[in-house]
Amino acid sequence: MQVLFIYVLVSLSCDIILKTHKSKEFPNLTYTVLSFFTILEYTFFSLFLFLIIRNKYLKRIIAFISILFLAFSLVYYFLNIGNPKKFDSPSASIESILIIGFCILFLFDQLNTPEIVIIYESHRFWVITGFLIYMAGGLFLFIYADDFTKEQKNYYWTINSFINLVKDIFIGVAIIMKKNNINQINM
Amino acid sequence: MFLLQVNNSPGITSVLFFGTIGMLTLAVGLIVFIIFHQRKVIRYQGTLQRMEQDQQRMLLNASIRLQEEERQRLAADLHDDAGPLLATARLYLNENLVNMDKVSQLQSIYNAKQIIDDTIQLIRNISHSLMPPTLKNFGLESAVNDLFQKISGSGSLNASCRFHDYKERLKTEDELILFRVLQELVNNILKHSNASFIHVTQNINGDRFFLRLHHDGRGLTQSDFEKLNKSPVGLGLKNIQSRLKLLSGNIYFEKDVSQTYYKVTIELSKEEIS
Repeated sequence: MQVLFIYVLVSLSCDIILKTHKSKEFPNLTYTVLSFFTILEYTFFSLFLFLIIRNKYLKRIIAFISILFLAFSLVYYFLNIGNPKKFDSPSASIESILIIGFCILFLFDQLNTPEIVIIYESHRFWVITGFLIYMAGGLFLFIYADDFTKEQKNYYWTINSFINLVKDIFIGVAIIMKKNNINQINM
Repeated sequence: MFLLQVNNSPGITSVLFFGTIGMLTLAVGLIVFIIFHQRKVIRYQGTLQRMEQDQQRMLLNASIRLQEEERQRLAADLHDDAGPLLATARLYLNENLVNMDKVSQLQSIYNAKQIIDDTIQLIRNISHSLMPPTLKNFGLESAVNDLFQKISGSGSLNASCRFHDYKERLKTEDELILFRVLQELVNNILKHSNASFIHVTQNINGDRFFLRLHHDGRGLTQSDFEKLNKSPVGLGLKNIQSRLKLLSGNIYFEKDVSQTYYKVTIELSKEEIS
């Protein structure tokens, strides 16, 4: 749960920086913040999944793919830092595909775990569902984001805001569920 | 993915729109499918659990009925056999005995002694039926041998047994359970199978203890056994099942590959019974 909490804080900080900074003073800041947010988002999600998943084989797959992805994202960031890019489309798109894949793996792993009583009574399910909806809804947006004009970006970015809101609500539900579970255990 | 990165074209809107809607639909569909599938699995597990509980209840009923039948048999034996014998002995030893002549007194005392001896024998028989002395004193192998000698002695069928790995006796209560199971199986064979031989073998394989019973009559297969076990009839089979459950054992009924005889295998964990 700490991983999620830190993720929420990082997400909030990035949003604040992107809303408040002056693009003329720091022309590369948007690209840098978005690139690092992609890397951090992926890292937090894969760490969260790595901690909750029980299947050792899946853990190894997650670790291996994560190393490859992080290496790719960093290389891509440094190769394009001088370009007038605003969004790291390839990294964000690959991130989306990987996270969608991991979410599906997790959900099917949960289905095959006999001790899980009702899947939606687990806080993990809500986190995973939030991320799945966010990444599924954002995939095409991330693919095209780099090619948007300013008007298009303003127009289409509402999709991102909406699915981001859905994800945050789901993470909020997960945090409340986890807190209630801890309280029930303590009682 | 890079192929999709076309420049700003009119198609971009529709690809983006339908792509996003499609992906969201897939994601939501997947989640709904997983929730419904899991609910279905839970319902199925619930049905299985209920069936298991029903079977447990049937086993418990069978075991209670067995106890009641045993008590009724004991009560009947004591009331119908021991009771009249003791009452007759009492008649011989009534108050008038002192007024009788010496010869009659001796005759009465002798008759009473005979009746009391018969009663003692009767009570011993009842006691032996509860706990065979051979089993208690010499173990399962001797008790089964004893039982089979009696059966073979009747001349109707040939019963034999061979214990290969029985140097150390099991706990007496476990031996009694196994003996009762064998007795029930043999009883069923005698009653229903029309067999000409019964052969029991015992051996140990690793940490598994096996008792195998072969006969050449009409027998049961595993599916027959399970069917009878789930139906209200087949009290004896339910008793076998409930007794073996105490030892965490399994029983398998099968027809031999040669189709000439039936085989019943009782499998126990050595740890459980030693």
